[in-house]
Amino acid sequence: MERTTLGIIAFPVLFILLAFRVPIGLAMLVVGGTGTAMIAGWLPILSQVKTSAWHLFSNYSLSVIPLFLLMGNFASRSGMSEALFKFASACLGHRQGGVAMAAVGACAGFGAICGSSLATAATMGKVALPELRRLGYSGSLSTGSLAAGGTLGILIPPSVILIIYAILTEQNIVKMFLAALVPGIIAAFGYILAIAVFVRLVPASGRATPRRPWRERLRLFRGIWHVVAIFTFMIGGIYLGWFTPTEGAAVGAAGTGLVAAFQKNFSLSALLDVIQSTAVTSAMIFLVLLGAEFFNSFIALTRLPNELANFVAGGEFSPLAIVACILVLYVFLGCLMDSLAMILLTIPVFFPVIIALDFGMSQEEVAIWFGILTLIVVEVGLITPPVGLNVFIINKMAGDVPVYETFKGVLPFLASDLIRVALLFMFPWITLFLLDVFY
Amino acid sequence: MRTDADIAVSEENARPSDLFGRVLHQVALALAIFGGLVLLVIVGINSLSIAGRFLFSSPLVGDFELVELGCAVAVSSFLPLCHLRSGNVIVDFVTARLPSSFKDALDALSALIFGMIAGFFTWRMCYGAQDMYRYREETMLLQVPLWIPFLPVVFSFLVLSICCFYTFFIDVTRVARRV
Repeated sequence: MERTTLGIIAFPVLFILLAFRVPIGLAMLVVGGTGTAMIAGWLPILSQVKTSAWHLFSNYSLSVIPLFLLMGNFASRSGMSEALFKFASACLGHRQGGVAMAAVGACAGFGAICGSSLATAATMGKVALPELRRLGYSGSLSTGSLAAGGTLGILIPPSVILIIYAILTEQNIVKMFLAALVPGIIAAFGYILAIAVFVRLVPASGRATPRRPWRERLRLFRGIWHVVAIFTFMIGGIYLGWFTPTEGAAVGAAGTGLVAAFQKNFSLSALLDVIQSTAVTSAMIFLVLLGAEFFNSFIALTRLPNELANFVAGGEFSPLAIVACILVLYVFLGCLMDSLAMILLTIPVFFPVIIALDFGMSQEEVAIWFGILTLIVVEVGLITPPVGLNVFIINKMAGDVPVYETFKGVLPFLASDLIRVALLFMFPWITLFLLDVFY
Repeated sequence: MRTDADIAVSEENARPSDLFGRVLHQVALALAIFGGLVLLVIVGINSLSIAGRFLFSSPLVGDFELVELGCAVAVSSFLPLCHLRSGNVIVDFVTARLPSSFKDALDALSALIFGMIAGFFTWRMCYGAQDMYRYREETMLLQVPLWIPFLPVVFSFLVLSICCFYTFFIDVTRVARRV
């Protein structure tokens, strides 16, 4: 069979395995390994398997992932989420829908020390949801803003997905983090704006609470100074090149770990819990990475990406139209698939196509700009039906809110997401200007 | 779709009733905690190295290498627990409405495949370790012989493969009892 045909067949086979509940990493490993064997015979596989897991697991760039996960899990037990939410509601609570805005703001703050959307949604939901309901905020607004706010965990650096994109496309992780900062901040403000519009339309959904004096705000700020300090030192140190992202993650984990250790209710069993959730999530990610390694080396062997890149470059398509098509495809795929698996599965095929097109930017700029767009679009899948994970987590936590109410509450945030993607798509300098400042 | 490994962890999985299962869970848990401690040591090494660089302008020699080796040991030791807690990402969307015995049968099948793959890795990695020992592969700066940290990785894959065959057996008996 011709190699390219084999590559094209591999995708439906993979999807069938996935539909039959085979774990994504395992399915990619099996399809990739078998495919490679069909092209090159079994011998290369036999010797590849001897050390492939070792080489992948001991890759220095990837060691940042378990460390960031450890940091996020410590942060979840450090009382930082409460402190962030209290401070934010003291600052914003006097506005219409202000406490929901505060929840989004606190999510952004927590996202700065946590690289995962689900963890951000779950941690902030635990703190903010009871308070929002107590103050009479409607079910759709309170669950919607927390489900959407959770995606800030990934959009604001550090972000696990961004690290993996950078490694796949051989980009500088530090530059990716730098480029993600402004879009992340825009995302937080966009969500706050979405709440402002929502309460203008449905005034009963979120009432204002009394304005707090500045003295109280200042007092509450003292509760979050360590979040600010850890984030500034960690991300600042990474941006300025004082230390590598891995070292930064270790510093962050040490910082959040110390804060957690000084909590009253922190015990040995809490530490064991932190270790176990870090363990399960890290293993999950590395299994997918291992599978992707086999699958992607097979796909490269089929020359499918080159053929596709040649085909697209040969046709008279507008480069922007191609990016737009890919982004739309991502929105649809994201409704059904996990974001990590989606990136690992599609970037090796699409990236050569994108990088071969002429956007009037350097290749590195295109790679970074496309990466940030991909990150945002992929995260949209977390709050869209039928499998929007953030929506289900928050909805389950609320208990008394029907799922369609939560999906309704998410709509204004989806609109804000789409506007932001369009903005970043049309004006790449929004993503790229910080790079010019630093480099 | 299920990726909520973070959340799934807190919910204790159904405790296995058989002795073998209980022991296996304890082994997987102990292995993961060992890996977690290694991760904490990595955090310590990095912090020390940074502090050393800033305060005394003398970094730890070979801290990169220790991080790499530690990470490989830690991550692989997490794999068995992740499988036993069903922490791996699966697409639940297509089969969500099917009867649970059908899902159990599919899970049994993928556990069987996983067990065979993990076993295959274990078998090949034994040769990998042998190669490392024979050719005296070691790290650049600290000259740590690679086979030493490689052995716990092989052991983790062995435990992973046993865990997969165990859940295969459990799923099959569950299906058989219902049919």
